[in-house]
Amino acid sequence: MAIQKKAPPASARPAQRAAAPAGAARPNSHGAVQQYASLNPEDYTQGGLLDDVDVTVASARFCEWDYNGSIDHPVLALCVSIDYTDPATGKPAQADQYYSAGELSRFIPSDDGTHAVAVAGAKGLAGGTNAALFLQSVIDQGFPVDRFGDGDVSALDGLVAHINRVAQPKRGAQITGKTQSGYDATVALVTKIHRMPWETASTVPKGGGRLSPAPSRGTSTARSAPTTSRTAAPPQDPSGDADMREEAAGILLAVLQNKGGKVIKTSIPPGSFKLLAGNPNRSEILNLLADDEFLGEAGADYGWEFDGQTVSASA
Amino acid sequence: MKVVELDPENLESLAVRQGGYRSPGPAHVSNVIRSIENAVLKPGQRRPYDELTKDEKRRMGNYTSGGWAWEEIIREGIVRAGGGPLYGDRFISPGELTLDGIHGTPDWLDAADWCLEEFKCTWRSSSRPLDPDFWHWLVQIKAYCKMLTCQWARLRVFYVNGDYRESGPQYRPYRLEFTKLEIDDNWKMLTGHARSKGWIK
Repeated sequence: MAIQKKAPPASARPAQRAAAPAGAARPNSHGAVQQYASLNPEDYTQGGLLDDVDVTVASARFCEWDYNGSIDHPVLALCVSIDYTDPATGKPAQADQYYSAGELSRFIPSDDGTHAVAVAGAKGLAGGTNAALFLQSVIDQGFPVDRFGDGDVSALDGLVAHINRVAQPKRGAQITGKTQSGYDATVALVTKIHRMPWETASTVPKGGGRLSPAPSRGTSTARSAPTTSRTAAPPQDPSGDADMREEAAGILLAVLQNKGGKVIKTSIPPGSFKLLAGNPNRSEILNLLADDEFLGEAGADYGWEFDGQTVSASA
Repeated sequence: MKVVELDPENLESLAVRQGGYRSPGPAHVSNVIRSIENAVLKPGQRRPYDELTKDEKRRMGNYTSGGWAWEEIIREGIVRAGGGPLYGDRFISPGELTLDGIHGTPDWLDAADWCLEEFKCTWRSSSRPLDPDFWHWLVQIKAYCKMLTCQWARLRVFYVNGDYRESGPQYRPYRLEFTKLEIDDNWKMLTGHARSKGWIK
């Protein structure tokens, strides 16, 4: 370590503490949805979690969501508005289920919410998110993936299916598979499709749904997730490393674009830090972007070349 | 003259500390360093904060608040000396960062030269060398460098009692430069200790 003791500067440079990273400044493009009741277990005061019930997807749209204010910046979420028959009353009921879909630094919702629009070159939704689990469960039950076309999630509108709650997979050190209250975190997945949106014959069983009790705070017994005979396929990368690499690559591509297609390695952190504002993984991503091995190996997949000093966009 | 002693007020209430999010759990850079000191360098003298008595916590809080106040003073001084908002993008308060499961909150980052900015206030003598007498500062700074992928830092120290001789209070800024190996070895030490305590996987 070299220590250079310096005299106090004659004229100190002006400075101002930057505001805390605030993705929250971004206006919500799906504000009306955010006013609906949340099914997030953390927000429950009474009632219960939708579980083991037949539902009709009234609409599926991407939106920004801040877990009803419980996190400091909104994330991308898939909001699935569903109609079902309340087994307690036998009357029609509606609910919204939010499935987190990753950071807004990778994708933002389109104006109409039907698409997730890539930011900085991201290719696909993060594989381990609840939204990915939900979509995978729909596909696993026979929904043709090509029906999503260019990524239009409204293709699910009108789907009639059965959902069950299953335990969320653990996702590395930061996400433990528990809610903040210590309960097992669960996610509502499609376990059977009764009718595709484009089908007309109605064969939907009536009733059959139940509401599992909401977790009551203060109890020492963790609520176990209901078991299902069929569950969604596990995410291919539970640790999220692949997602992190993809996110880092997207950031680097954006930096390259801002810098005219070429950037020296030491300028990558300053060039990317603003793009990472509010990103909980920014330190991990910064370290990836400083890693010669990553810069050298990932370039072939994402379109850049690294000579040990400079990263250049591939021709 | 009439002297009326007012109710005592902790330094903590005088120093305006900007609120920031702090992740729960013990896996914070400062906690890990304290734990290493308690286990190796000063056995039993750096107990976990939660194990301190009420008086010890208050005393520690007053010292800590002195550091916060120092940071506030420097910041205001720098802003007043120059263009203020015109330079708002240069000095960033990055907030809490997380790497390998360990959290840390650097004071500032100078985006112009990608240099960590740290503020310290101490009642120890300025005649002491940074290394090894302020070992915990250097470990902390190297950890933040790792988190921000930078290799140098500006350390602005306010020695409240100077050199305990004729100096009076002293302000000494330093520029610290580290090798990548120093930063990586330091991070291995921290993650290794945190892992051994079961704080990270």
